[in-house]
Amino acid sequence: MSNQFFQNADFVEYTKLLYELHSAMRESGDESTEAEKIRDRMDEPGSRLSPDEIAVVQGISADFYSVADPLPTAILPRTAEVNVDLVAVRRARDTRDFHLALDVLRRRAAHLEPSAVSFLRGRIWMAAGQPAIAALFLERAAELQPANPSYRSIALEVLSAADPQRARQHAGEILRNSEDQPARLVLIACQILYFEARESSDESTRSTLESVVTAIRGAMDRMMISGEDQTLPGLFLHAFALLGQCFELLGDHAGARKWYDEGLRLSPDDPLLLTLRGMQRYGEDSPGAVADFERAIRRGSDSVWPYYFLAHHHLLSRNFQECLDTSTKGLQREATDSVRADLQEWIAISSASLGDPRPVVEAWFQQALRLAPDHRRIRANYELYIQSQASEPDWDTPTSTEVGRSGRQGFKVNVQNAA
Amino acid sequence: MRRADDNRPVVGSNSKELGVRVPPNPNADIDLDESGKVILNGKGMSVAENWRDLPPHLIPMRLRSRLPGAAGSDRLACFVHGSGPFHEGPINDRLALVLKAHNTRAGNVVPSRLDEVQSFQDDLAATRSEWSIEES
Repeated sequence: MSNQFFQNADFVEYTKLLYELHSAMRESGDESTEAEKIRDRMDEPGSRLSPDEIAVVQGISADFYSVADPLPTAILPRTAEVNVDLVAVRRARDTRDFHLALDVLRRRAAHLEPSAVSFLRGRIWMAAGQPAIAALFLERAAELQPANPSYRSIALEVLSAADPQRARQHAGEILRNSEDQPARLVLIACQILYFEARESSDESTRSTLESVVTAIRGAMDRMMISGEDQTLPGLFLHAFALLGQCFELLGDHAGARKWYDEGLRLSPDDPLLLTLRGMQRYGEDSPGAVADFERAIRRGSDSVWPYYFLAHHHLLSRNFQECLDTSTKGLQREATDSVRADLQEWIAISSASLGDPRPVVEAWFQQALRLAPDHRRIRANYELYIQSQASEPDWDTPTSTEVGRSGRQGFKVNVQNAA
Repeated sequence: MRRADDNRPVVGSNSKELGVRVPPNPNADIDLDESGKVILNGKGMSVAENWRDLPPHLIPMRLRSRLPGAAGSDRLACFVHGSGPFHEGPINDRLALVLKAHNTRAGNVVPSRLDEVQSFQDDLAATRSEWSIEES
C-alpha cells in the first residue's frame, strides 16, 4: 500500500472488496451468499495484482481478522527493539509508506496491547485516506479500551467521514448521556450534529441545535472543574468556536458574538476564533472584520478562510495587488474546488486590472472554470474579458453577503485537530 | 478450485472450476473469434505456481494457520498439477502454460492450437484426475 500500490486501481479495488468481504464474513458468516458474491467480484482485480501486491493484501487480510479474533492470552515484552520499530512505523506512516508501516506493525503486534495495535492501524489507514477501513480499526481500539477518550473520539470523528449516518446515531447517543462522557468525545459528537443541522432544512434542526448547545456548555463546565480547560486549551477554545457557530445557525448573532468574544478574551490571538468573529463581522463591520482576518493570518492560521475574506475585501476595495497576493496565499491552503475557483477568478480580475498580459489573465480564468465549470459568474466574467478590449470591464463581483454565505456553508471547526 | 467429493476439482465453466468462463460472461477468461473458436492470445484458465502466491480470497480459510490472511471459502482446495517446474510451455499435446506478464508466479492454461471452445473445455476436464490437493 505504498504510494506505488495505491496508484494501481486494481489494488485499491481489491483492498476495498477485501474490507467488504471481511465485514460480510463477520456479519453473515464465512460461507454466506454475501461473502461468496464479494469473492466472485474479487476475481477480476485479484487476477491483475503483482506478487508484491498479493503479499500486501495477504497481510491486510490478516489485519482484518484481528478485529474479530480472540484476544491473545499474553503480550510479549516491549523491548528496546520494539520501541525502535514503533518509531519506524510512525515514520513510514508520515512518509506515506503505508505498506511498510502496516508490515512493521504486524511483525511487532504480539508485543503491544491489541487496542494499541488496532489504534495504530486505524491511524495508518486514516493517513492513507481510507476512512472506512480506518474506522473499523479505530472502533475496535475504542471497544477494547472504552475508558480511553482519545480512542473513542478519534473513532467517532473518522466514522463521520466513513459512515455519516452511523456517526450521527452514535453522536445522538453520546448527547443523551453527555454528562457521563469525556468532554472531548461530547464536543466531537456536538460537531457532528452541528454539521448535520447546518446541512439540513428539517424542522427538528432547532431542537437538535439547542441540545448541542446544552451539551457543549456542560462539557465546558466540566472542563473548567477538572482543569482540562488549562491542560487542553485548544480543545476548550474550540468549544467556544462551536458554540458560537451553533448560535449563528440558530439566528442569534449577538449570542454567537458573545461566545467568540469570550473565547478571544481567554486567548486574544486564537486564529480560529478570530476568523469566525471576522466572518460574522464581515459586511457589517468590515474594518473590524479585516483586523480580525489580518490578525488570524499573522498568528499563523492554516485555514483558507481569512485569506478568502481578505482577498474579497481587497477586490471590492480595488486593492488589486493585495487581492492578488492574498488570493495566491489562500490557494496554498486546503480548500474546496469552489473556494479555489473563486480565488483564481479574483486573481484573474486583479491581474487584468494590474495590466498583466491577456494570456496570463485568461489562464487564471480557465483554471477557475476547470474547477467550477458551471459557475455562472466566473464564466460571465471570462466571456466579458474575452469580448472586451478593456483591461477593466464592468466585472460582476460577489457581494459581501454572498461571500459570507460561502464562508458559513464551507467553514468547518475540527475539534479533533485541537484535541 | 472447488473441491468435489472425490477430492478432485469440480469441472465447469464458472469461477473457481476446472474450465474457463466463456463470453458473454462479463468475467470471461477467454476471447472467441467470429466462428466461436478460442483466440490464442494468452488468455485461459488462471493458475499460480504455489497456493501461497494466490490472492487471499482464493485461499481457503482453513489454511489461516499457514497463511494468516487466507479468506477464501473452505469449499475450495488448492490443487497441484504435475511435479515439473512452473515454466512456460506445453502441458500436454493440447494445452500449454503461458505466464502472466505482470506476475511470473502466475499464468494461464491455454489451448495449444485454434480450437472450438468446447474442445478446450473438454481438454481441461480431461486433466481432472491429474490434479491433487497440495496445501502444505
